[in-house]
Amino acid sequence: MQKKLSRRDFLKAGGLTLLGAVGANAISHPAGDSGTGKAKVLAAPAMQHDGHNGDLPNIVGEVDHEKNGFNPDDILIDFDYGEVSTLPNGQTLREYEIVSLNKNIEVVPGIEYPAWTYNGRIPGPTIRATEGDRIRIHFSNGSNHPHSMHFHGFHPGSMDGIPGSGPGGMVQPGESFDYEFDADPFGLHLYHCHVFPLARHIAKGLYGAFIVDPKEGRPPVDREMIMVMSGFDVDFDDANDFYAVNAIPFHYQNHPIQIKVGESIRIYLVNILEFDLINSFHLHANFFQYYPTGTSLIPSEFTDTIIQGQAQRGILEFTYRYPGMYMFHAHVTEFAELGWNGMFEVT
Amino acid sequence: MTQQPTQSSRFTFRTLVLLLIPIILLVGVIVLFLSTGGGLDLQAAAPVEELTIERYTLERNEIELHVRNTGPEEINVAQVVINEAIMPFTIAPNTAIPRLGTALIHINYPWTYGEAYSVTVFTSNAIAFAVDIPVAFETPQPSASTFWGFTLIGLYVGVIPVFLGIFWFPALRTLGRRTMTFLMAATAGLLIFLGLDTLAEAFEFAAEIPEHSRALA
Repeated sequence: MQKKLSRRDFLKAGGLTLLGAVGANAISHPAGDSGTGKAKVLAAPAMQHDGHNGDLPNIVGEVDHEKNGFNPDDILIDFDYGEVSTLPNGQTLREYEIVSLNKNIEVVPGIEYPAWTYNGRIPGPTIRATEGDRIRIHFSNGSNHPHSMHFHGFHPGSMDGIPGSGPGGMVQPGESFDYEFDADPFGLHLYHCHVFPLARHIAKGLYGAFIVDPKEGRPPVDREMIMVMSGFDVDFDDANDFYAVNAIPFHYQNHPIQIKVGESIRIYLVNILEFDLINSFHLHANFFQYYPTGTSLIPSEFTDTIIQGQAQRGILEFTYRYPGMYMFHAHVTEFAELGWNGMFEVT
Repeated sequence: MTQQPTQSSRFTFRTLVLLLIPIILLVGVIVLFLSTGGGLDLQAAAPVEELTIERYTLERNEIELHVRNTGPEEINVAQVVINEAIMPFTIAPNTAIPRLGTALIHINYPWTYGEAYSVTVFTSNAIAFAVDIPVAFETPQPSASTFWGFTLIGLYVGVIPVFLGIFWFPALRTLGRRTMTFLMAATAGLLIFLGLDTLAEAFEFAAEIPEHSRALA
């Protein structure tokens, strides 16, 4: 008897729910079950990875650089010296226009990340000046959140770009502020937004490199490159999902950087990676001279691997002896397999 | 007013009409909902995505995921990550999976016997769906021997115990009416318990079924 009753209840409840479900399904879109799941690999040629990379970790496809508005190939060698003029006292003035913008960036093929950018690119422009130059940044906030520009280097407190430091500490949407200071000391520095919540403001893309050349310049090299190491937390769980140098994972793996045997290379390397404690750079089949923070012209180490915490940076100098394909990547191998891996093609 | 209600409950035309009225009303409400949407304009504030990884199979150097879009809208599979490494993959029939549609994701991956893996599928809205492979081993292929194995299990748990139990019957018959009644009552109780237990388990299982095909729970 009891069993019979419970079965009846069960059927009743089930029937009602079923009716509800049918109704709900009918209201929304018609079912589109293709039912082809059992077909064994119909091969999607466009999605096929390239043969010579075999089963190495890699992304599928290519991000739309044009839509992103920047290409890591360009960022690699793009140094912004600003608009140059001379002040009455003879000091060189470099002026920059920088605007913070909300922008969807395709960080890996198929995934657009609602990034915050300086001038629509990640990393922001690489600001380059000579020690003692006057820097004037016309910063305007074109986004819908307050932002700032906080530079590493000597400057007055009012130019520090942190909340509480005056009008430049938190530039409201639609407003602007001029940051002005002398480029000092020489070395490799960086800038980033310093508005709360800081981790998100940085992780979403508000950072860039700031190079101050010594007055007499650095010894000449054949080629200079800028590399900013960072990551993207696309699902907002405060852990990075993808890692890269110059924003786009695996970009230099799929588009190797072309260099010549014997060519002297200088890399300005900045780590702004959020959420993870350290980042690193390892160069294959070679060694480099390392100048931490670039504040000395004498290298501190001759090595093939260095570690950087967040905001640490340094200059690397090396030359390749033999032609071939050579990897460079974070020797935190997890980061490498999640995108921070590149290649030098030496000819 | 005029007539006293009779004691006997007779099925009259009036009863039939009274029974039908709610059904007619329900049909009316459904038609109204279908034609007007009930005046509701519920646009999700954020994309609602649900990707069910129904099954995974492992073969030498290969992992395959059978996925079904169980959310309300089309899903685009963007990237696949296995144990903290972005892996190239192929997907058939298409990267775009329509509502309730299925797809097969194929990854060449040098997995190792007995190790654990976590496979994460990222959709274009950066929503991650993960499946854990707690112990990796080659997925058994259905064969005559597996079917024979299951047949044997059926024999061992379903047929042999019943057959053995029947042999008690001659002994039980000699124990008298009261004992027999007690044993029957205990049996009935046990059956009811089994029935309820099965039902409870069915509900538990139903809760794991993707929402779209869930009629219970």
